[in-house]
Amino acid sequence: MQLFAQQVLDGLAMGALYGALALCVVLVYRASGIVNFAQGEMAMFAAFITWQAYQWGLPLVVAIALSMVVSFIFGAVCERVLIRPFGTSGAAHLSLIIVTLGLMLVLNSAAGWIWGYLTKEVPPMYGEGSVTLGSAAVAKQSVGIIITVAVVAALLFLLFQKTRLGLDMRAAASNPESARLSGVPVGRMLMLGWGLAGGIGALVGALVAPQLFLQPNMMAAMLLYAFAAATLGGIDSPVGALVGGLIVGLLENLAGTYVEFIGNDFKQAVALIIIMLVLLVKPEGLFGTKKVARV
Amino acid sequence: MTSPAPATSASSRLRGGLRGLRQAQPPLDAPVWLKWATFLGVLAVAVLVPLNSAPYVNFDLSMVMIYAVVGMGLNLLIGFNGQISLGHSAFFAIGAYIAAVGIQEGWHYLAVLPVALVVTWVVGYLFGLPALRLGGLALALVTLGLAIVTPAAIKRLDEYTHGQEGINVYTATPPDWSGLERDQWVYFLCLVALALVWVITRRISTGRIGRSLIAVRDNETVARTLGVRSSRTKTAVFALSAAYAGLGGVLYVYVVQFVGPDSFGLVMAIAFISLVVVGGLGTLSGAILGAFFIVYVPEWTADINQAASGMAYGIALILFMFVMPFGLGGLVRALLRPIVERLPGRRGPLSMRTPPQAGPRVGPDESAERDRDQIGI
Amino acid sequence: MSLLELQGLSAGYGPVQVLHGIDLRVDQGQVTVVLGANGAGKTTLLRALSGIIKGTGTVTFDGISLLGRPSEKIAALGISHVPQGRGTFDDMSVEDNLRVGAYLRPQHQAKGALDRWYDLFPRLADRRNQQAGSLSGGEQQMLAIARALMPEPRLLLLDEPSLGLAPNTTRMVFDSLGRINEETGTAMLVVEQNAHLALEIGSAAVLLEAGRVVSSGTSDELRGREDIRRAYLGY
Repeated sequence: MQLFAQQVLDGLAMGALYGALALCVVLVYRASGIVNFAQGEMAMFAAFITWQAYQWGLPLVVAIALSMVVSFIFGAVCERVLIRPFGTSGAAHLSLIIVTLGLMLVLNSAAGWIWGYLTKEVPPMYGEGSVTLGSAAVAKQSVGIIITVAVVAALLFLLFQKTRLGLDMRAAASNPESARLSGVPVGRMLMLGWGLAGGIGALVGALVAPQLFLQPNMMAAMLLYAFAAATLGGIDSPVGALVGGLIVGLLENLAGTYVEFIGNDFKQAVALIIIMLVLLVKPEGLFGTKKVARV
Repeated sequence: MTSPAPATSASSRLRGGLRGLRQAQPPLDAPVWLKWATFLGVLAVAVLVPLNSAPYVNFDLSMVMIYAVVGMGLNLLIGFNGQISLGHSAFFAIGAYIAAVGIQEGWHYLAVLPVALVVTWVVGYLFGLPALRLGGLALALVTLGLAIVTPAAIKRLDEYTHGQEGINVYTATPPDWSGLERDQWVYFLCLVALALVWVITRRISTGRIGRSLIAVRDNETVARTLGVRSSRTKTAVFALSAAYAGLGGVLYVYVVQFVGPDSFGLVMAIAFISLVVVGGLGTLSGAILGAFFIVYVPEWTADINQAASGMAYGIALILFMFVMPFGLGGLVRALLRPIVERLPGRRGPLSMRTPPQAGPRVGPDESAERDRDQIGI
Repeated sequence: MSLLELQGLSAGYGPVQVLHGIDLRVDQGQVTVVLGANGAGKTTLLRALSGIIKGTGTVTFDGISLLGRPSEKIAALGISHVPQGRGTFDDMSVEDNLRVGAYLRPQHQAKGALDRWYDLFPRLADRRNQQAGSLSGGEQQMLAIARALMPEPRLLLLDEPSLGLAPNTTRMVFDSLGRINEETGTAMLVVEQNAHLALEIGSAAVLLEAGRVVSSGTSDELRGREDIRRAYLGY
């Protein structure tokens, strides 16, 4: 029972991170109608920036904040320079898939070039050690991750539902032409969406780095889980992304522990199976809107 | 619509040239004699080269031909069907592992070939059946997942695959009658395979099936009303391209004589995409140019940095999409067209039957680009 | 000087030219109706005016040239466009739709404007927290019009406001448009198949055929013409 409780909490902590990265995927999807295959590598690169800033002597929290700012700007610039020239028609999908794949490779190689392929150690933001919750001892970092992601989600909710800026972003995602006709600068909203995705991704990268060990290839599997979470929750639903992340995290951790065939090495298959099943049975996911089936 | 451009400044002429590269280039429609001459010329060179080259050159060129086989399959899928698969490294791996395990069990190295073809075709069909219902973006997601999971799956099935260790085989020894070295023999095996694949793919792409593929790509609904069974066509193409990848995997074992899980990961999957993009979406012979790219770039860049080849692939993907979305194949067609069109002996009226569009719609949206100055950020 | 003045406006989609040199004026506070068959270029005309597509020629609004300006800048000059098919934000609430419409106004004025349109369209007030996509066609049309009026534009472009509406609802929409024009003096350029109702609220009208203006005059003049009666009014 104790093992089970621990597995559940660890699963939820990982799931929160999957959910947060899925949230980035969803933000980009809502803005540009595409999946950014480089989302994971952007988070990985940001984690290296965090590590570098920390090495230079900045406090960890400051280092993370710095990398979030850099990633925000990078995300926004990517939208403007790499994505927007291809337009928004359905025919642009193929080009954009290829461009984001290219970006994925460029970031991966750039990190390898600059920092090498040996793993770096990033200290956990919430310190080592564990707290006792009931009968289970849970790592402080896990609890910290769950709380952090909850705070980020709450802030995003406030932004989207309670501020003028959030209203305009929703309008730009919902119907770009009408938004433009109402005077909303849609281009800026798209950049903002990509920027937010970049910034949140940077936070995810910094939080997950202590667990995965920082190296250029650490995010490939993570991205797969995030895709599973986003697909499960509905690729245009921020709430769905978070819920999907928690479910994927739980399933993956429990399956890895209790299903012998899957074991620790083959957990990624769980993500692939989830993606395929959801797309076949309920393509719009748990919280997505129906039209997504056309993707 | 194509009025002659007035004399303009060099920069705008350059821009016009660049824009030309962004357009799909229809096939060259060269006269028949030229086609045969080119074919025979290339064949002669391809036969003579291995007899006069060092073994490592022959192995490299064999790899080029293997990847060209995979590229032609992917080209059918992307170029003609407008769909992308990021997961063909998985089918390549299946082919390679069937070959390696089979040969290790004592099978003849040519006997594993049909097995691998059938298995990868069937797996491709079964995978494509549901996956292709999903449409472009979802298919990309699923196949990317497949590519990421493949090495883990190989390790998990270590009973057969020997996991991380991999499998060493000694195979494809040249028969005595040939008088060839192993590198030359393997080279010719690859050459035969490539030639066969080239002929088959060409027949498919210019025949009835090819036209229905293009119809499905450009307008699925209309194609369906005209009686093209789109889901069946798509699945068949997906399965065929999977079988090509499987064939590539078998040939890979002949050349490399080793399989290990980490050779068949995301890196290979994306290398395949680079191949198709650099070579040219929808141009058959472009796959060969693309294959040269992915074989030689890692070699040329190995001294610079471990990461340099990945960087080159990545930059190539982005740059080609912006500047030359139809790749080197499109470039070659654009350069040769003025020459070919002056040659005698072209088919004349028949050459009017150009396909509706010579490639999928890729590259920057021209109208979006015109807007750029005005919309601002 | 007219509020809106077009001289030789040509526009189209890519290589396909739809409008061939349109001349047209809309005076301050006036309702002008654009009549024409399907494919005559009516929608293209409005889309070119609000900067959704590019055009050539001259278009001036209150003396300011419009061509080449992006949609959001044209909106900021005081031109609102209710696109065909209404263009509501379907997954957002009625109130949020209207608040987006008030983008160009200071926040403190938005509240007053909101109440005003709720007064005019009480059914929107009842459904203020409902998703726009769940409204009936008529309600969506009213929402689209109210949203376009939120910034208090000087010119309202309306693209087939009667499309897909029941006759009663259409009548109500046009009555509201007439009242809005009287009360606020907002000039309107209305593209409409339902020529009867449109000419009732319109003071001037033009007839488009194959991307060219073939007749223009006051509503009464056009209503009086035999050929137009037959083709567009059906009696």
